[in-house]
Amino acid sequence: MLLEIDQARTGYGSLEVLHGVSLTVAEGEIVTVLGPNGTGKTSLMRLLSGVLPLWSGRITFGGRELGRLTPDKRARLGLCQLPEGRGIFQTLTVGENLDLGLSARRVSAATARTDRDRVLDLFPELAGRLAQSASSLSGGQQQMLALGRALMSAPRLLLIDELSFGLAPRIVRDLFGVVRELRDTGVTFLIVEQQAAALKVSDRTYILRGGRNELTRDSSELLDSDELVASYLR
Amino acid sequence: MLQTLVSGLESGSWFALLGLAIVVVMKAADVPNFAMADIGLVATYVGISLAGAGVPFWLAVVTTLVTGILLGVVIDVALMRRLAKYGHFPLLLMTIGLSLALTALTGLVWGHDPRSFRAPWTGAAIEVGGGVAIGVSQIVSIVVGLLGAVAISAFFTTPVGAQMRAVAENRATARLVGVNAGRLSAIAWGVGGLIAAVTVMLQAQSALVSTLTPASLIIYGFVAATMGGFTSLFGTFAGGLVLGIIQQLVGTYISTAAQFSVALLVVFLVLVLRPDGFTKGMRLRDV
Repeated sequence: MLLEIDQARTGYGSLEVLHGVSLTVAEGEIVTVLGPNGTGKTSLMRLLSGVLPLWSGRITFGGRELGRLTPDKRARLGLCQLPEGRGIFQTLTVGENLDLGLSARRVSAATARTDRDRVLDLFPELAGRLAQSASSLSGGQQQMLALGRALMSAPRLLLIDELSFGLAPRIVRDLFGVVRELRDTGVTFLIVEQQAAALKVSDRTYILRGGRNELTRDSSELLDSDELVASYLR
Repeated sequence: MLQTLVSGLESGSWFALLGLAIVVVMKAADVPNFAMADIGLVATYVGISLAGAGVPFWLAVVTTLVTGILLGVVIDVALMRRLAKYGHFPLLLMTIGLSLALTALTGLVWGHDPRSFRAPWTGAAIEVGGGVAIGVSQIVSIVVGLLGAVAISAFFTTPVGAQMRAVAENRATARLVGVNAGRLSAIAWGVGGLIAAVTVMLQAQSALVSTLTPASLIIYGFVAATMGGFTSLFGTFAGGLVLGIIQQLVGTYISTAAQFSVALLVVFLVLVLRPDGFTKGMRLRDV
């Protein structure tokens, strides 16, 4: 298993939000975590990226226990995150934002260039805008930039917090298309979503409720039973 | 008048450079560094001692710069980093404490008498006609100040500089993306120490410096940084120059005793009228 979470508890101050969540992600898999608002999905992301401390339980990534590793060290292990709200730096140019992904690893200038070209092939819309301020991009383009930046850090596992956040359905569909393409190149995904749309691209789905595991299924199974999913997301 | 203007630009360059040093550390490490001028003074005194012991001028200059860098990095790694987890306030107090400690230490080692860092051009002047002469050291200060500002601006467009701007905009997200904030902070302190060393050294090749220098220089540096809203490089640089000129004009036409009060008045006015600084360039935080 690339990522193993075993009975993880965490929260803010003395407020416990996750009451023992368990979850696994295998290499090459796309796993979604669904759940209604306020169920601890974002807290799970923060726990994985090292922003929230693990109160009890175990998290291993690539066989290594994450313990108290800081967010930047986790990123350098290949555990990268597309933060909630995209986390694009508005005062930087598009190109600078993209290259920030490189800060998570040591690469030669040549590798950096080929990686950048590959990302721009994936998102041609960004190619002509590298020198522009990132604040000039539309929401969809910013999400592409966030995804592109994460790819620049050569992630082993990419955590995505609400890819669909504030985007039109068509753009969301395109982005999920890119996610599937990337999986074929060997990237593993853990996607937290509020929308059931993510089920179409993912292999397995965990549904959280009240900070606990509620249900784990193959995504295809859930796709066939809209009502079941809807009842959990309500 | 021309003489006053040049003197204003000269001291303005020092204020501008120190202001830039403060802004660099502020951007990457998010702490207002009250010990900046003291770092420059210690570095300069090291250079003065070496020059006094017969070491060639340029070697003494390079040693001064290296000392500034090292002091900055060591202070960050050995002191600031340990306090970082307790938040801003202890960091701020630490820089104030450091400033006092460095001043006292400098006095202990080198004494409190004013000193100068004699450059080959110290004392030389260029006649510009009308009986007005401009000191070469003044020109050096102004030119180095300008070059320094350009170099610092260029630095912020490098990959490391872009990382610093990202940290300044949103530290938490920058770390999520993989930016090593600790390393950046050390670099910023090193660069800050370097600029501070240049600043005090420039002052010492033109005038006298003593253990009293940092206390006033740091205030002027902060005034310049305030004019740039603690984020804008251009605003800080321009602010420093304007401050230098205002200060010289006040000294010439009103009273040298009023110079300091006027500088504080400027801060007051900037904070009341334009709390974001004169130039709204890069913002430090989204509010």
